[in-house]
Amino acid sequence: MARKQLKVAAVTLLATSVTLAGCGGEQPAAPQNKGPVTITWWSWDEHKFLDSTVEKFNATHDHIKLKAVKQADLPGTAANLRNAVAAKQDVPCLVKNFGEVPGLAGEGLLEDVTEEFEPYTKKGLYNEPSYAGAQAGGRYYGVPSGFNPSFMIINRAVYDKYGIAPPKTWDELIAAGKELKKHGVYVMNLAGEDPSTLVNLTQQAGGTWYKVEGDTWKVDFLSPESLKAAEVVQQLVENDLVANQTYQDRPALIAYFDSGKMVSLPTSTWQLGNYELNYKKSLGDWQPIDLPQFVDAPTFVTNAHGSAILVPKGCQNVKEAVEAAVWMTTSKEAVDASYQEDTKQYAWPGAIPDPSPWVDSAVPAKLFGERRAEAKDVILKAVKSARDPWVVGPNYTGVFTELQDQWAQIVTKKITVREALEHMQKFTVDDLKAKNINAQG
Amino acid sequence: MTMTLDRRTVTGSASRQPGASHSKRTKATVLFGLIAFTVYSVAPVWWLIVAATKGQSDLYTTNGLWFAEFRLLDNFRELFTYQDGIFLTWMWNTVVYSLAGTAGMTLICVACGYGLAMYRFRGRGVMMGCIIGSFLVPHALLTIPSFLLYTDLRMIDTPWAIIVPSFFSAFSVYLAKVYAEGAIPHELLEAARIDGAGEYRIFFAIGARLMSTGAATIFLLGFVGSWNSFFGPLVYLRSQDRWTVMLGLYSWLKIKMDSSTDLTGLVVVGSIVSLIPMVALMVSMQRYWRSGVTLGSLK
Amino acid sequence: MPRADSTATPSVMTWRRIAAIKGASFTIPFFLGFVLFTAVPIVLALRESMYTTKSSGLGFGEKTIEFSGLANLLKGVRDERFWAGMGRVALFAAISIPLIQLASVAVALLLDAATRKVAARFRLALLIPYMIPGIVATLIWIYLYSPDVGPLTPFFALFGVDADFYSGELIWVSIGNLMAWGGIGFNMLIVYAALQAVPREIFEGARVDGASELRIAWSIKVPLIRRSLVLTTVLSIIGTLQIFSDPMLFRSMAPETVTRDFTPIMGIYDWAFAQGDFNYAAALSIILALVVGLASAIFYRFTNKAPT
Repeated sequence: MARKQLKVAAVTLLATSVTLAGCGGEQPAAPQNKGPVTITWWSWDEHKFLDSTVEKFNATHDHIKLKAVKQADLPGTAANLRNAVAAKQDVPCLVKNFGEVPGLAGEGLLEDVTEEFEPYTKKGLYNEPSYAGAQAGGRYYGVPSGFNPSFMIINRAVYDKYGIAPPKTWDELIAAGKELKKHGVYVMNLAGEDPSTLVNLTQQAGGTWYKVEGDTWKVDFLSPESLKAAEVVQQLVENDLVANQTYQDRPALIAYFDSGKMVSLPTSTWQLGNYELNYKKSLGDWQPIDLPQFVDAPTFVTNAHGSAILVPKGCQNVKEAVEAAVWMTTSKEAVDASYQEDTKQYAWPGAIPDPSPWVDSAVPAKLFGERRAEAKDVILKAVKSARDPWVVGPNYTGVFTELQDQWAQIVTKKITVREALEHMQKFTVDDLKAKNINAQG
Repeated sequence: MTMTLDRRTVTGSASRQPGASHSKRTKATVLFGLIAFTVYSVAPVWWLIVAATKGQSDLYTTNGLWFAEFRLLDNFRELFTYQDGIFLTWMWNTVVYSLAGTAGMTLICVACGYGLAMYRFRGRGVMMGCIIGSFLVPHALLTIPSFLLYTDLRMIDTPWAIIVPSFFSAFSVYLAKVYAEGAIPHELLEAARIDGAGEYRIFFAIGARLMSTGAATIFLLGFVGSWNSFFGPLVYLRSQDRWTVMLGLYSWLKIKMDSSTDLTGLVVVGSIVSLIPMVALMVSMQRYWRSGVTLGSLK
Repeated sequence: MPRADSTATPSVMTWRRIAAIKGASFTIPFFLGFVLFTAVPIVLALRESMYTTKSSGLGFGEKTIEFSGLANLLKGVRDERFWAGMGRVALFAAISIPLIQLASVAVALLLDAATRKVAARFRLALLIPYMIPGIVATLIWIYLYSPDVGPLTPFFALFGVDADFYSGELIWVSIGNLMAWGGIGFNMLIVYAALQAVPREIFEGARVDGASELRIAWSIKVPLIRRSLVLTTVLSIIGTLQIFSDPMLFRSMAPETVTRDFTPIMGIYDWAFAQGDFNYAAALSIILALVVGLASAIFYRFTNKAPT
């Protein structure tokens, strides 16, 4: 009897392995000569955005079919793409960006699509600042998906209460901070884990930390633009003008922002809905204003750094992938398909020259109260004045984690911004050289 | 076979009832200790329960330890209708993967642990070395090689990628071996052999039975581990309708990082619902937690 | 264990050999799967550590892969930041593991000493933290620890203690408590199952002789479950030296303390997925595995229990 039981178990096991071998055994579809090409698109956006986009695309295209595969989140997408590229099998053709294009191209994850994409750059489909974000070393490794316009929202009620005018420059913001500090209010928040404020200020000043010269990277963390940005951060930190709330502790973060103890937020279109959803007390007190400028800036400039829809290495149908991505990033149909009934919002069309038809929907109803109408001008002005001087190198993913460590030391006043930049300069050059990449600086 | 196992019953003599002869003071100490540990274990869950009753707009801005507007039912409705009720699909998938994976694992690993504990054979030391050695390897190291392997086996995006590898748990084998050594006296096996029983028969008739508490523990630990794992599903499953509940909740939790939606409220309710199968399993396995089997005439 | 019987007759020898072969066959299904799903990936990964990937030019072209033997390992042996992380975690392990183990055994012994009815009531409640998935536990404790909105900081303030669980100073306390909360149930379950498997008669004799419950627990129960204790402790040593997700969470709360390579595994992840050097990450993984193995071996020696 025991023998029989074991036999049953053994047979079951065998059957399992046979089924296993048979299961999922279909060969990956080879590039076909006839019939539509299927383009697989990975993204961790909410399913409702993916579904409506795919539906619209497939309804309007015969020779290409789009298929969305929902990913869990950003790190998950990164892990999965690394695996798929390494396995050289079932590689998706389009992937939502999970880093900086040069960093990912440097890792060998992306396909050079310059040849396929370049024709589209001559059609006036894209706004000028969008292009840089899809390039690495002057070549395209993805299709530009544009940028989110940068502006600021301030808690106007608190500003008014203490008789402080909304800041037009970073110096005015620092001055406002000093005034607000007397009343126990912080002018801004600098999360200890997120150095993006320093990056954004550098971009706005027209600076970049990497540059290509011939076949060599020129690294310069200590350029005048970079130091100008550093000075603003240094002033904010040194004078204790900023809060250091972490993004992880969401209840505390939201409650804090809502409380009127922190009154200015550099922000962008995609975040507004979240504020509207979670704020209570301060709904209606906020005002959208232009991003503060550097005092000596000749013209009004906002920082903009474009993103891209990635085309991974090993994609079988690059031409069709690029075509689909261009449709997703520039067509009116695609923008319209992103409309959501419940929030009455479109996904922000960051790549196209004129987003004005959709700008109204990006502004939530209650956050700005009576000042809601001002938001439209602020956003469109930010789009028009956007510049993207920002170039990063193939080791930027690692450099960024080092920068995070340095940033944490900055906001806790263990080191100055300048010291951090000096460290980053050395770290970056050494790292490039260790990887056998040409670098100087 | 003349050997009989004298399983102790609840209605055994009073002196056998554990704790029956304790003094009052001991009893009070035991009770106090248990209460203290239980408060530590359960009190933090209060936040979860309270949060489950709140709407998203109250979640961050009201006191976390007390109720605001009571929206539990709306939360349940949203949970079960979001994306056409995909949460229920995830729950069902997880039940299937976890039950199949853990049942297979328990059979294979208990047999292996029993073999390692009860027999001396060549290569046994090497096997134990491999098992213990595999504990030491950081899993970060294995993600890419494992993925390449599963791709070759054509298991990516199939339930097999979750179920089959979970059969072979080195930890469960080790645990089974430890329990087998503690629970099965060699004399008993010798006696059975003298009675003419074959080795496989001895395993199913005596070994497996004596190890039932251990096997139940292994099953339970395996099930909870499998239920709560999300790294495997994250890497090996693609289609959303094959996901597990943990992977789904994880993706909901992370959505707020870079979009204007915040589904934390759904994660809170969803995680409470996802506890139900585990609690049900624990309750249904209570009977394995009776005290040890007595060994009758052999002792 | 079946004794090697020198006076055995040839027929008994054969019989024993057959039994041994049959015994070995119990392990075959597991080992087939183990070789395929665990050993093969490990070997593939070990091979990675022997190579070095080099870029060229601007770093976007094809990479060259060179055999570099033990160079990565040797670099790892001299990597000060990696060993600093190791030291940090080893110190934490030396303090937290005994405490967590002690608590786990205490709970298991308490449950074992309680009457059946009482035990049934508490068992499930004590296991709840273990059942709560990690991501949700994190959500709960982020709230409880929060110095701004959580209840713990004001609670400790009542006793005049200024406790900020997000601060760099308390980081290990916060992480330790998070691990204890989720881990005690798991350890307790293993130990409790072992206790329950012990025949009750063994304790009865001692009770009749008038031994106190504490004495029985310490002198009879604990030695009987030593194997399980050794197991849970070794698992804790391994798990703690490989700690990753908890310190990763606190990287946001106290980034000035929790750097990108704060613990060995965090360093390995950083090398593999941020610095993009999978070969070196593989080498560091090997070093970590060796250190963890050594620590476990020392512990085994300490408890006089051979691993086999």
